[in-house]
Amino acid sequence: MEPDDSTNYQDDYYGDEYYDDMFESTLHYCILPVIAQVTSVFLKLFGLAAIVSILNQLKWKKLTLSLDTTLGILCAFLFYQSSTLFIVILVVLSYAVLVLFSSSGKCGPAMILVNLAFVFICELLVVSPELWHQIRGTIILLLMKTTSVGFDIDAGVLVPPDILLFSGYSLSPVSLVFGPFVTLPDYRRSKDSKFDKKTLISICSSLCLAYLTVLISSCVLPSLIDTSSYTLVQAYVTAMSFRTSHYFVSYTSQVSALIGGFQHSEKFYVVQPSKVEIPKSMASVAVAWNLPMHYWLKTYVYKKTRSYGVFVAAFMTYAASSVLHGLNFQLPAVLISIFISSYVEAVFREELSVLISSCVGVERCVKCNHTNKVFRTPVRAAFVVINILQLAYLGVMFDSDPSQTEGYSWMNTLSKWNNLYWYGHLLCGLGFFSSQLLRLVNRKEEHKKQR
Amino acid sequence: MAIVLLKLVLLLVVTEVSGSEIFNRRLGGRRLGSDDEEIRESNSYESPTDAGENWNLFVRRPVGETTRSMGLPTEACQMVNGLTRKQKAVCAESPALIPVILQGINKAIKECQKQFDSRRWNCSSFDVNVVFGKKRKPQLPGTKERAVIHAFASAGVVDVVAQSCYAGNLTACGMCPSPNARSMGPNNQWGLCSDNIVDSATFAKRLLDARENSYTPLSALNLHNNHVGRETIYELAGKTCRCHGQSASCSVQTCWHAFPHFEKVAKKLAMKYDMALLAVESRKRSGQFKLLEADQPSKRLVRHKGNREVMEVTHLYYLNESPSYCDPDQDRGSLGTRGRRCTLSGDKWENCEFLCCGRGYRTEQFEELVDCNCTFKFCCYVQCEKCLEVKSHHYCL
Repeated sequence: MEPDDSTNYQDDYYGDEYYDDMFESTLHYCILPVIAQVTSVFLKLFGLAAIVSILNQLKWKKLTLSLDTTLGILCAFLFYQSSTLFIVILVVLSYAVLVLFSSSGKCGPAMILVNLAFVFICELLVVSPELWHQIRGTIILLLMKTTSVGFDIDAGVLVPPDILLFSGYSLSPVSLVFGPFVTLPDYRRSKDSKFDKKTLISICSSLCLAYLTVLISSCVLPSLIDTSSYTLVQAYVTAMSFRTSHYFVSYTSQVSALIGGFQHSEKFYVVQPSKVEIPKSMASVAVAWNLPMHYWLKTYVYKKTRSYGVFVAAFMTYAASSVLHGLNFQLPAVLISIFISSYVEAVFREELSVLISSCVGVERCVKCNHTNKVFRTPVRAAFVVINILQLAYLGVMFDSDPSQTEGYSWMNTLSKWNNLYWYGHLLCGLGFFSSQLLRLVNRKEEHKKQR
Repeated sequence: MAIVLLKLVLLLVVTEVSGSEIFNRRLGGRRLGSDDEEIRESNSYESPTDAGENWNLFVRRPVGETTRSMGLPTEACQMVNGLTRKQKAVCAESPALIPVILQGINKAIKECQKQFDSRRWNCSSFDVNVVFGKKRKPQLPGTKERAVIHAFASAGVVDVVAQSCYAGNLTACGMCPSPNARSMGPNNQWGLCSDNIVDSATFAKRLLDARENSYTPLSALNLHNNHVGRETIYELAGKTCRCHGQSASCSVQTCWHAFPHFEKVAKKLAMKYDMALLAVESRKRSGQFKLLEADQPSKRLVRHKGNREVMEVTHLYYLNESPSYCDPDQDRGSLGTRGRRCTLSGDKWENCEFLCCGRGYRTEQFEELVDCNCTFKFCCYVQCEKCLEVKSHHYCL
């Protein structure tokens, strides 16, 4: 005999206890774990930065610097475990170069050569790709810091620092892991910093933005990604996930720099997302992407190669940035593509502004005799749209592929671009040929006018 | 300094909210030695035939507790309508999971009916007894529809059991082995345990598969289709991580559990229904049979003993062609399409011509009050009048 109330038994348990709602399910499976993971990182990073800040207040000079070094090594150890060794070796090597070459005036080039040699040897022979890609960010920061010291000594604006100051500057936990690039004078100034309300407000707002961007990058956007479709919208969402991840890192570095006492000046707005999301031009994107790095590239690469012409200087800037990133295919490919886009855009818009006599160039017209005001806004808006498309194209390969821990493979890059029919590069090519055409037309017009 | 304290507090709060139960369960429930072996063994995917043949050989004890502690007596297993003897034995191991399993099947029914709502066969003959209770015949066995029902049922069960396990509602879940993927903290206690799916899938598999024996081609087919349902969740789930770092390096990673929303799973299963493949049976003289894919006889679908190759786990297979479901036929599980609502302009399945199988349709007209003549008033609202609009719905004859 089957009891009839068995059906009731089944009915009793047909409750709606599972996460039928997508929001609740995302909250539980994604948002809370990501917040917890990020908070544990922040505790480590900001805890050490706070200790550094307290030490600064105590004004113990030499002791502070050595403690900075130790705390920095501790920070690296917490994040990178055994790879800390390479970071320490690099710093020691750089100081040796500094000591040997500071009087000869060739400190900067020597520093670059030795550091790059060390980095390439490590990347090629010694370290596994995954470990190296983990410390790549710190290595890039160290390269920038040491070469800045080297070139400043050559230029005479900096007295050769002693070992404590140099190691404190290189390894301070405040700007080691994500940290913004800071110069040695900035570091010295940070030791005398004071905290005011403005700094605290900045810290709080940057912290909130850091949390917000990491959640957007890890939870909101990936749920919209469908890896099997290759549409433009998918590319944009993937690229945006990458961009918000970058903003997260930038805001984190901003918070740690502010806690560590680096003053609130233009250099420490590490990123300006509004200029990246609504890109007036590719060049402005490249600048607003990482302002301290832009400062480094401008001061130590662009200004030194400016004498060879604008194109060469710009190319050398992007080449230097690529070289910093090491033996990776994807990053330099993207950087060179950004260079091509920004150059083509600059040339095209310059010719266009002459042709239609309107201020649509990449840079703001200072003194011009452009007469048409009608075209200005529509053309600029059109270029914003084009640049948004370009950014989607350039960021599409930074997805959650398993090869992301090793820096992505060249196949990943090329296949993602292939899926989009290489439209970004085609646009650049089109822009270049159009600009040459426009140049011819403009020359003819000029000759006509001269006659 | 205050910031650090604030963050500590936040961390503690977050701990309480999201992970403490799992954390405690992992610490408390871990037993070393032989239990680990069993768990590792049960995590590997063996062919569907194992469940039917060997289930009584590996009696898997849930780690860390007794099933009685949930408050459900083992008589609960007796009370559920029509479990087979084998299923009752499996049930007795964790009677606490029975209501969850039933929930899962219910969820599967709902989603299946949503997916197939506009087709001739609208999943209306899917009820618990098709997959769970004693064998009844509401559905012609071995058809595409039966295949997708089985896939839905096992996927739904895995989904609900895994979610309940994660939420910590059930103690009768296996524990998560230590993660081997890199994560942010020294212990991945915040990372989600995707192996909740594995453990719950194992139990779900054993319970649902215990109803089938692999000695008949139809049962073997059902086992395969159950497996496809579980695999679909695997295809769509998994731990995903994202790298964050200066200059696109990978200094830290955030990882999250991309637990698929069951609607996505349902859509995928509906796609697999459309792509289901025909299998043919070939019997040897010894009475053993092989199921082979109809178009490519060299591929083996299910091998009875010995070699465990199961090919094409991503496809559903069926043995018999389906009826057209146009006319009601109780024996074959068809309710017919009489009285179903159809649209004149719909594409493919919900089009009246197709849905009504050429019988024609009748139109019902009714009046409905709708907003019309809407104007914007200053300030600042929209005022509309009510008009009677005649709408028509079409129903198949």
